[in-house]
Amino acid sequence: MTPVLSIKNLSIDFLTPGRPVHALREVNLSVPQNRIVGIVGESGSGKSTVVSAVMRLLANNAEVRSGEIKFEDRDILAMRESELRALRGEEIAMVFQDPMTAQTPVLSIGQQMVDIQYRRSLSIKEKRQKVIDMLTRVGIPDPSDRMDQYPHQFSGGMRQRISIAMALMMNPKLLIADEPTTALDVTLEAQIIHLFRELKKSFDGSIVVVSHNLGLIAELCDEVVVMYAGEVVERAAVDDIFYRAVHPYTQALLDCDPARLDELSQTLPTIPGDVPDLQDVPEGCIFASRCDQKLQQCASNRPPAATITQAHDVRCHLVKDG
Amino acid sequence: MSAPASKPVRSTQPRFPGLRQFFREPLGVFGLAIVVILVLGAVFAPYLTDYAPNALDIKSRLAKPSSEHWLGADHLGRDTFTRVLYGGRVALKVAAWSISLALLGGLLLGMLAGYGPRWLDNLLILVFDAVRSFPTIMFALAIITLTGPSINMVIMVIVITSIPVYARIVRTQTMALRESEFVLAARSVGTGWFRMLYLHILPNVIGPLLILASMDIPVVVTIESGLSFLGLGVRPPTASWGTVLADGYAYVRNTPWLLVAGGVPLILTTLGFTFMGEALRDVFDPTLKKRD
Repeated sequence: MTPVLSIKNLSIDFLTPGRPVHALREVNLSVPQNRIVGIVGESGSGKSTVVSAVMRLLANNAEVRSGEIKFEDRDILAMRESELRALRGEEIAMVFQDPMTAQTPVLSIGQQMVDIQYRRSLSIKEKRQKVIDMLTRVGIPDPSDRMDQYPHQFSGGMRQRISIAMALMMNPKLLIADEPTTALDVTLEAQIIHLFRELKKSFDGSIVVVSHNLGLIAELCDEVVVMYAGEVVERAAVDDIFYRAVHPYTQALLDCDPARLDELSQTLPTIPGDVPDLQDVPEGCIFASRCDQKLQQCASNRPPAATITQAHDVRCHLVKDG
Repeated sequence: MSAPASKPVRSTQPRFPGLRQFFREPLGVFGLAIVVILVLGAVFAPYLTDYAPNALDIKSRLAKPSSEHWLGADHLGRDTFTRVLYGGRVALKVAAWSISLALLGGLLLGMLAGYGPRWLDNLLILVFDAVRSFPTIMFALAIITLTGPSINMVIMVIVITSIPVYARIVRTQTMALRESEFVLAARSVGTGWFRMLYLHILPNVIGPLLILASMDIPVVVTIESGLSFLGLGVRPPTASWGTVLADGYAYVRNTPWLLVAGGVPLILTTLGFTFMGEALRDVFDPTLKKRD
């Protein structure tokens, strides 16, 4: 089966007043049908840039240097604005990080969700019924009454549910959730994770979840892509990442997860050093300066993507291809 | 997630929540009352008085206020109350036309500058700044001296000088909104630029703009009266609050009520529209709404 989304050799620069920042370099990933793919990495690793590029919602100073993004067999990067509009919402939809700002404050959520269906030739009553069904599906109590309320009358968790409902309104083939729980507190986070798991059963499509919350990724995803400083360093099935991680960065990232701390240890482990300056990308492995298993060639040779097993790729000199 | 049997579509919200909210503001209602009285007075002027606004009656020259002449009569014996009512017509006509045209123009140009390409923004801002560098009154004096006094010229001058004010506010708001996450979210569900402007940008900028417009009405009325006072607005026999003032001020020692008759409507207009504007602001900002 062809993947719903495949990204090949995507490189993106951000043009700044100084030199360009090489935010993404040769990123490869694919999202198979009906699968949930997680993208993890620390802040600034390029997670959000990847998904913004898929939606073609990059900031104005972003420049795609090379690569292709294919949705089914269509090249997203080559699409005209009108084609993009038809794609967004209908086939790819997105849930944003901060639910408190993701809805127009002056229209009721019902009005906004009815409007999303503007391409459908249904009566207002039918559209409202669809809104009610969708709100029910994401767990908004009393949807027929609450749809006439304004965004500020809902709590953060509710608003994130509404954002998800809006994204799913047109039944897209690919749902992108960009840090869907980052702005929420822990209990709400658990609820939203639970909602995604419920949706996984009924939603007929693929999901991309961007997060730095490893717990969320572990609970939800089938496959995981680990990014570091604009590169994909490892990608594998979720169990391979969590139990058989190969790349030193993935291992270090997992070690730093607060949820993994045993109760006696007092300090939170960190990865020493800093993320390299992406205006001046070092030769060799991007993680070499912080790696505790560094070899001699790491500083000078960029490791190729090696395939360990069929669905497990790593960019590291510790691994030999095959 | 069990789906409860969906109930028929029904809303617990009152039909016009904003209206109800408005009537809860005592000052707003007071302002609205003044505005309504002014408007009714202007519209039904011919039915509220037995006199014609320009009818001379030398016998009652500079008459004191009485049951016959409620606000006295001027130096030509014209009934002041009648002239104030008819003057309201001029004032409100100028205000209505110039504010609505300026609003429309300001909204269009402002959203265009804020949402459109950078070069268009630069061009429009240049034009706005050029126009705004003229003081309104000076600009009006210059134009009217060239074209001769007329109401339409007054309206045109006010529209031209007000559009940049509105447009700049709309532009700034549009630019802020354009970067907001809900606009990004709307783009992510495939909203085009036209729907974006009228559905997501317009409702968010119109509130502050209507308040500003409401507060601008007295300013416009004052400009019209001022120009008419100087003889540059309406032509002299026509009644306007400005001409009432102009006719009255020469006799201020003997007949001060003539000045009062021309000035009080101006004060009331300012008060009325300002109070109304403030109450409207509360209604238009849903986050300020009090919970029921």
